[in-house]
Amino acid sequence: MKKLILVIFCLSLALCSYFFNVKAQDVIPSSSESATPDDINSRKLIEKVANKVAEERKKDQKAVSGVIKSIKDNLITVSGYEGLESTTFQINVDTSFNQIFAVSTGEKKEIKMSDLKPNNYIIATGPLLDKAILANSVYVDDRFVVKSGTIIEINKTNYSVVVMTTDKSEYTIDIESTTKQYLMNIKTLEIEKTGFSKIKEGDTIHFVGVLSEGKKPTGKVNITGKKYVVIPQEYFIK
Amino acid sequence: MKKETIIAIILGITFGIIFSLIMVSRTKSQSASIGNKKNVNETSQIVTPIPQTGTNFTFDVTSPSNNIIVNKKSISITGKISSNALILIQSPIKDTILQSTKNTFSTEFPLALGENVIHIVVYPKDSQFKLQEKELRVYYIEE
Repeated sequence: MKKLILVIFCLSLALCSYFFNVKAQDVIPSSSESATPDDINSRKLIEKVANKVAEERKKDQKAVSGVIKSIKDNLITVSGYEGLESTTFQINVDTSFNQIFAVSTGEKKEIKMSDLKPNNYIIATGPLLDKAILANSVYVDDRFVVKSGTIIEINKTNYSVVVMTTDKSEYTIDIESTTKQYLMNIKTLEIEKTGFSKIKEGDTIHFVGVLSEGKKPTGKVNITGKKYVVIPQEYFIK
Repeated sequence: MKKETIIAIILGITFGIIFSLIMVSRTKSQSASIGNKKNVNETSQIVTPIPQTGTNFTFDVTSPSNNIIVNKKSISITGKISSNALILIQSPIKDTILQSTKNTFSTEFPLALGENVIHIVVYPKDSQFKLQEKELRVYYIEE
């Protein structure tokens, strides 16, 4: 009887040692040379899981942009858009972790939380939960409008053009000395420099402007022209 | 403790271990077969070509998606389009004009730090079709 017990005990010990050896090999393969197909599969699985986790974290990152309505301590309330709908977002900025940058000049310049003012246009990224974002990064920028439409009026005395877009919004673009003006060559399709005198009513214009702070980007609005590209009407009737 | 009790315990442990080993090996073989099935599904995916009938105009931006966040200075804009259309892609830092010769278009487009409003307008060659436009917001954020 004692012998039988001893045999069973030895057998169970052997099985236990085999089982744990197999598990240990799954977790830490000794070397790539001795790696079995099972080891390679497990490693691939671990990598896949790690990649998936990283992807999911990236998916959680959302970007929110809008005009600052109010600032209270570290909480900024902005009026932005979710699709086409106007929405209010809360941006939580942890000043001990987050840096705030102004990028409107084309260069990145660090600014302080106290430099932010209502009507500034800001962009924040981070995990978004129910219209509230815990900011990872905050940028202050110009509020660009990039649209196209037909020139319906040219005012040569105050250097402005009125454009009607396809959604029937009217934009008055102030042309300044710094506004870059281009015309598409209808033969070569190259973009060439042009002047205000060469554009005419009925031409198609693609423009980039900066919306004055606090104004809605719809309806009849004035913008400061940064640049425009005109497609002459002759292109469409040739 | 009685001999019978000890024997019963040892037998219980032994059979338990044997049972667990069998279960582990079965689970492994099942997951391997699922993986193989998934591979089969991935490879057997049928890509249906988009018919170009000439009675409708195709325009779709396949990449990038709207509101995407990237950490690089440029992005590839690609899409499907009917041939012979004029494409104007504009952002605050770049204007690009393309003429579609195939049923796809692709261009490398630079990004500014922060929000990039990219406006894409397509003018079909045939005047019976209306122009089509799409606005994308791409966020270039340094990590």
